[in-house]
Amino acid sequence: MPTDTFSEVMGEADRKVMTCIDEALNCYGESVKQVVYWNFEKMFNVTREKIPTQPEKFSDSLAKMFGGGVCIVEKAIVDHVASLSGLSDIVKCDLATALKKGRKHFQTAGQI
Amino acid sequence: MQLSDSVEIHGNREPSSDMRRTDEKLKPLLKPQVRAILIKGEPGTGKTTLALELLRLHGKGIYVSTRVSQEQSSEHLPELNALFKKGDVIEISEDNPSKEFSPYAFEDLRLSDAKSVVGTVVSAIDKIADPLIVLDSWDAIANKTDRIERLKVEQSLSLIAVGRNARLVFISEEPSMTTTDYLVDAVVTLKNDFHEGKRIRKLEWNKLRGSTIPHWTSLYTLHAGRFSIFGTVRSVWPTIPDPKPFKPIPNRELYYSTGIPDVDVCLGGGLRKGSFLLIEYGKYVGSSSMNPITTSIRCNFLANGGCNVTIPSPGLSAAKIKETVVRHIPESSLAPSMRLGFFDAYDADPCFLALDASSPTRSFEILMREAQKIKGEKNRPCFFSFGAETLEYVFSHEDAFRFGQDLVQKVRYLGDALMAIVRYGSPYTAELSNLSDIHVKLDAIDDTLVMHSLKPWSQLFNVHYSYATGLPSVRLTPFV
Repeated sequence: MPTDTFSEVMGEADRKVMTCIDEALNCYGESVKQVVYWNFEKMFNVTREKIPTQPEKFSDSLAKMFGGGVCIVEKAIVDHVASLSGLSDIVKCDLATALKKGRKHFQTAGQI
Repeated sequence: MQLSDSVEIHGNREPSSDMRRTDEKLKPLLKPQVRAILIKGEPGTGKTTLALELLRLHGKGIYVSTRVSQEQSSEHLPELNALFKKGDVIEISEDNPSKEFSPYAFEDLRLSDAKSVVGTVVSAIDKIADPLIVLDSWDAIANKTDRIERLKVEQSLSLIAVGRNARLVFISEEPSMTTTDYLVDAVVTLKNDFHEGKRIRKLEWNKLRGSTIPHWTSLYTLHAGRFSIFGTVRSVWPTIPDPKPFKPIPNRELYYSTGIPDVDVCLGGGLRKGSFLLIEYGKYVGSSSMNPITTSIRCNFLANGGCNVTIPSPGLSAAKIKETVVRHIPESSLAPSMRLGFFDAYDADPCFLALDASSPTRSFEILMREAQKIKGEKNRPCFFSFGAETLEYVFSHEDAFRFGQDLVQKVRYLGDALMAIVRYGSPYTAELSNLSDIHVKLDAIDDTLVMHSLKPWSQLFNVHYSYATGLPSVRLTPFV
C-alpha cells in the first residue's frame, strides 16, 4: 500500500473517531467540550488530534475532569462510536478499548 | 423625645450566638446530598453576603466573581479573610484573573465567558479538594449563552461537581424560573419586603433536597455586613435554671433606664422622666410577649431604689409577675416597693393591691394612695404600668380612658414613668397613642418577634430574648 494512501486511510479513521467524540461531548455543551480538549492537551502536552492514537490518556484526562461522573461521559462517547461504526458489542467496553476497536474498524472499512 | 434609628445599638454585643444560630439554619445547604445551590434575589438583597457565609461555613472553596473584589467580599468576614490568606479560599475575578490559576490565560478569554468558567472550575478543583465554588453572578455568564448551551453547561458543571466532590453555588438575579432552578438541589430566594411600611428581609426556602423545611421563610438582616438569620419566637415564661441577681443600669438625669441597653438606645436614652410609653402588641403575639422587657424595667427600677405599681393585663396572674421579679430581686425588698393591683380577690400578700371594680374614681384613689405610700418621703421614682384591656373589661370605655388619662397626668406631674400595654385593634389604642410620648408596636412576622416605633418613627427591629446569663436579656437588631 502506498504511504500517502495509508495516511489518508488513517486520517479518515481518526477523523471519524474524533467526530464520535465531538458529537458525544456536544451533549455537554460547546464550552465543556472545549474544556475537555484543553484539559487533555494541558495534561499530556499533545494536541487533541492525538486522542485516537492515545485513547488511554484521553480516558485519564476525562477521569481527572469529571471524577466519579466520568462513566456518564465515557458511555456517551462509546455509544456514539458504536452507533457510527455499527459495532454494537463495544458498548460493553471501556472507553479506551472502544476507541481502539472503533478506529480499527474505520481503518478496515476505509481500505475496503 | 427621639427614637434612635442607629444601627450601632449593640456594637459591643458578642456576635457568636447570632452566628451560631445562622450557621445552624444554613447547615442543611451543606449536607452531602446538596451539590448545587441557587441563590436568587433582586440587587441589594444580600446574595453575595449569603454566599460568602456559606463559603466561610464550608471552610474552603473558590469565589468566582464578576463584580466584587476580594477586599470587598472579605471586609466584613474576618474568618473568610483568614481562609483567603491561608489559601483555602481562592478568589477569581475579572479584575484579578489570577494568571497562574486561570486555564485560559494563554487564550486570552474573558473570565465571564462560559467556557472560561467551566475551565476555571475544573482547574480550581485540582487546587482545592472538595471545594465550594461560588459563581457570582451566574447570570452574567449564562446570559451570554443560548438557552440550550446554558442548560448543557449547567448539567456539566453539576456532573463535574458530583464527580469531583465539589459544591456549586449559583447566584442569580433572574426572578423567573430558569433551567438552573430545576437542576440544583437547593433554591433560596432573598427578598426585600415591607411590614407596615417598614423594610424587612425574607429568605424563602424554595427547595432543599434531603431535608425538611420547618419554616418556609426566615427573616434575616445584613447588619454589620453579616448575613444573620433571626430566631423564632420562644417561650417568654421559660424556666431559668440559675437565675442571677439583677444588675441595674443607673438612671440618668433626664431618663430612667429600662435595664436593657438596646431598648434604652432605641428609646433615645431610656424612659424620659414624666413620660408615657404605649406598647401595642400585634395580631400574632400575646400580651405576655413583652414579658422580658417589662420584667427588666421593673427589676431595674427596684434595683435602683425605685418602686413599681402595676395593673396587669388579663391572663397575667399576680403570683406569676411577682415570681418573675423575685428571681432577680430579693423578696424582702418587694413588699415596701412593689404593688400589683387587681380587681378580683387575691391571696393576702403585701405586694397585692385590691382595686374597686365598681368605681374607677375609687380605684384611682386607692392606686395613687398606695403609690404615694411606697414612693415615701424621698419621693422614690416609680414605674407605673397597666394593661389597657384590664381597664376595658372592668369599666366603661369612657371610664377606662379617663383612668388612663388621669394616670398620665399624675405621672407627668410626679416625674415618674408610665407604660401601658394595649392589644392590636383595641378602640383604646388610638386614644392612648394620642396621649403617649412613644408608641411602640410588638408583633411576630413568620414566627419572628419584631418591634418598631410608630411615634416617633423608627425602623423595624428584631427582638431576641435570652436567659443564658440567668437574667432576662433583650437584644434589638435592625433590619439592615
